[in-house]
Amino acid sequence: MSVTVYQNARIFTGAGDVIEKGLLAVSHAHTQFVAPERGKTPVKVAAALGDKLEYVGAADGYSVPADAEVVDLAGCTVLPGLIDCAARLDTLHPGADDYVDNIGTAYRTFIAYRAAAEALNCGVTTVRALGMPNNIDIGLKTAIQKTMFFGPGILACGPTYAVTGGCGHERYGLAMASGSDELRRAMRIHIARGLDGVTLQVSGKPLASLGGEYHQEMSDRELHDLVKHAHGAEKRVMAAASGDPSVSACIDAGADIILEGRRIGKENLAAMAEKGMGCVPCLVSTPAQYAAEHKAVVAEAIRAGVAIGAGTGILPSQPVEGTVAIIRELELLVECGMTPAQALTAATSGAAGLVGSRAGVLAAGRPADFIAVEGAPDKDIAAMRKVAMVVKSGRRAFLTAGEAKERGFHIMGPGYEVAGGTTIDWTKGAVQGVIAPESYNDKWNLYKEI
Amino acid sequence: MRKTYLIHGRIVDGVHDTAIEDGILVFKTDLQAQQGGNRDELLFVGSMADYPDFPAEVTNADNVVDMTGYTLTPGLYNVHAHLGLTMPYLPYRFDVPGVPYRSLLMLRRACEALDCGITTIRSAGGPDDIDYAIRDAVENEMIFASRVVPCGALNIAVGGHAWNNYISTMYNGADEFRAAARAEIAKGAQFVKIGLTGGAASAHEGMADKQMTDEEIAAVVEVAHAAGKRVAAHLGGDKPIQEFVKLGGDSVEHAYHMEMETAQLMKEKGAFLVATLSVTNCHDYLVGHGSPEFQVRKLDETGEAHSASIGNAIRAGVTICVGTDLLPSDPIDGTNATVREMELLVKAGLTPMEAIKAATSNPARLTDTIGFTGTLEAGKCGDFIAVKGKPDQNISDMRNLSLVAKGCRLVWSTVPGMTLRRYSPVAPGMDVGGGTYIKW
Repeated sequence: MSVTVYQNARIFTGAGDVIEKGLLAVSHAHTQFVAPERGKTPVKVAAALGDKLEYVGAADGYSVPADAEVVDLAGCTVLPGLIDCAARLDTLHPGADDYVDNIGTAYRTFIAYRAAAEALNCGVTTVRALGMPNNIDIGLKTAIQKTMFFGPGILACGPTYAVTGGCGHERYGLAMASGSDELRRAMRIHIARGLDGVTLQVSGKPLASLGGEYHQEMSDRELHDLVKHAHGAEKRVMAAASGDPSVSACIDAGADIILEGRRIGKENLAAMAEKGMGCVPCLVSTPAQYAAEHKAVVAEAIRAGVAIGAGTGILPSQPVEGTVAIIRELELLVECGMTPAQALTAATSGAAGLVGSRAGVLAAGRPADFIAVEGAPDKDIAAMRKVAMVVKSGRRAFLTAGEAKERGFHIMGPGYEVAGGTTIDWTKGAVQGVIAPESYNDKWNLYKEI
Repeated sequence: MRKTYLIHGRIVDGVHDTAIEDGILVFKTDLQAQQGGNRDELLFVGSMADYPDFPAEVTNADNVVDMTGYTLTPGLYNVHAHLGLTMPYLPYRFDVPGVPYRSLLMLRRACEALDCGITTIRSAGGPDDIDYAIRDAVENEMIFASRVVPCGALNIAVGGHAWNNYISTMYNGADEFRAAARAEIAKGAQFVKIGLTGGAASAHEGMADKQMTDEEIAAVVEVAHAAGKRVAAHLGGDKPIQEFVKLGGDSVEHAYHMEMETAQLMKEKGAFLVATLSVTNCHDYLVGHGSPEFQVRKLDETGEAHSASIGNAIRAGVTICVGTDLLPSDPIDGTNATVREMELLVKAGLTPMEAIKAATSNPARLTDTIGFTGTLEAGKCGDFIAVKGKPDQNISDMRNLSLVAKGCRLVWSTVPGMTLRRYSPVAPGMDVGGGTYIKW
């Protein structure tokens, strides 16, 4: 069993402290198929990664084994891998036609994996998937967990549940129904397939007929029943809601997290803070015309002590203003009044608390998911723009600190960058629109809903 | 733009009948070009004596690697692979993993194949259009993996070969098969795949049972040929093979039973043979995976006939291609199924050089990819591998894979002076391998 030691780093543990001359030690173990010799029958194995974060603390508290690999992170701050609380990994290029599923589930799954790999390259080691259709998030999560591919940990939350014709229906993938029974039915099926949380679309757009107030599309009854059902299945509920009518309804129903929250009054913010409800504003994907009001709301939420989680609402790796969406979100949170340390918390331990993840804190026994950035991001958030190392499940995706320049995880050939978000139109040149003619399969296939 | 010179290696280019002994292969890479900009290509393949500009023209930006002791060959093909294969065969029509997970599983197998030196795979048919999706993802430079030549569904008759597994798609009558073929052509298939005869998969079918009518076969051939595409058929039974070839069929898969007369007809018509000797030479593989008794028995029993059949094909001079039915990367007998298929073909009577052509230039012609790959010639896109030794003299040297490159981009290499890995879609430190031996 081998060990890698990361030394000479400042460590922002996510537990509220910073270790100035710190050291992390990761032990490595994995089960993978090993080809037997000629003439011997191979044995089937369940591949698994068994790396452990053995030590996080002051350098003098750990005795480095003689054969350990040592990585020097002088000049860097190590922090827990980032958590994006709301990322729709199958987001397509803005010019792509995404009204109906014309590219098919298989290709959409590959697009989602590419986005997941890009996210990991940006320092995101956990993604709470947002509104992904066809249970692609469950497939992706399982594949990564089983080491079929390397990528961020995924919290699968299924499609966003909305009312028929609800906000977001212009894009493919919304799970639409009317009435508690129909919505509950959809949710029951997906929870049984393996969700880690659920997401509801409660509000629509601001309407002139309401004096510019956001339209509450999901009824109080539907909202109440869905939250009750999700909680009964021990799933946290993230509700996309803006405007006090919608947000009040969410608070009354017991939702756990407000997604977006582009307009929330002081009273509701105080209630949210009091109830321990979280907020994932996704400022980075707020349309320009709502941005100013949204920032004011987030500033007030911060003052009120609402627990805030960093989320993008799009792809964590989306190029934005010279950086990527997840990093830009941290910068926007600081612009709204957070200290840099608070913004980092929103993407690490705070986010973990909101979404229900064991990650987000660096301590022995926690997931070995951490990143290194040059400088001190807890003092100057702009330092987050220079991610120099990403480690996920104990394995180093890449390292560019100091003299080192190594890339261990690369889904493309050399010379290609695994980046770009939705600036690349993956649908160009892909097969679109053709389906199989009717065959006897429909009559002969055995079928089960769950 | 940078040039790389691989010098002093032996080169089997897939064109000539003998290796170049002291060879040089030069290629260029433009590492700034991405997203459809890959214009990298082989610049020169030949003997060192025929390249007087070396070493004078080498600049500081260029790479020179000494390949003494190694033989370069074109990247390998495996033209009969069901990438979604899980063993043992589930004996009922149910999609256990679901489309997203199975898509990732198939992509994983395409990545494993690339790591084994297989740069092009021809799918043997499966549902849900996943092979098209992998083709598109790889071609669009989203994810690096083996090139996949898709065919869409494994089209069979109602109750036909592998009817009791989710892998097949059932039609009845010429019109329905015509519609099926049209759908695949519309998705850009290079060929349409049909299950013409029985096989080992289902309990009550005979290996030589003809399951489709001539009318149905002709309908598929008509649609495919009108679009300039080919038809591949799963086949056992001498007579069904003959009838398929007479009806214009292009690619005979398996050919479990074939008399000399039929082999000569194949040669005359220019039909291709994908022998898949692997599938009747994998007793331990099947038993080890817990395959049902009837599948093991049927394949074991067919071994002798299959051997004789391929022997006939070799003597008649039929163009043979490497395909395995087992996964391209499936571990078997100390190597992978693709390399072992080459060894089995040599055992059946091909020379090592012919076996290498069966894994490179022959299938390149079969899949209509010879325009840009399948051989080592200037202007080709640069799919090549290096093995230690002389595989054109001792085919088992193909086991000593030491370098894989696709499209002039290095995947990995253990050649001294260039030991590195540039590609890993899996956790660093874990192998991209395992085939059907990992419990997904």
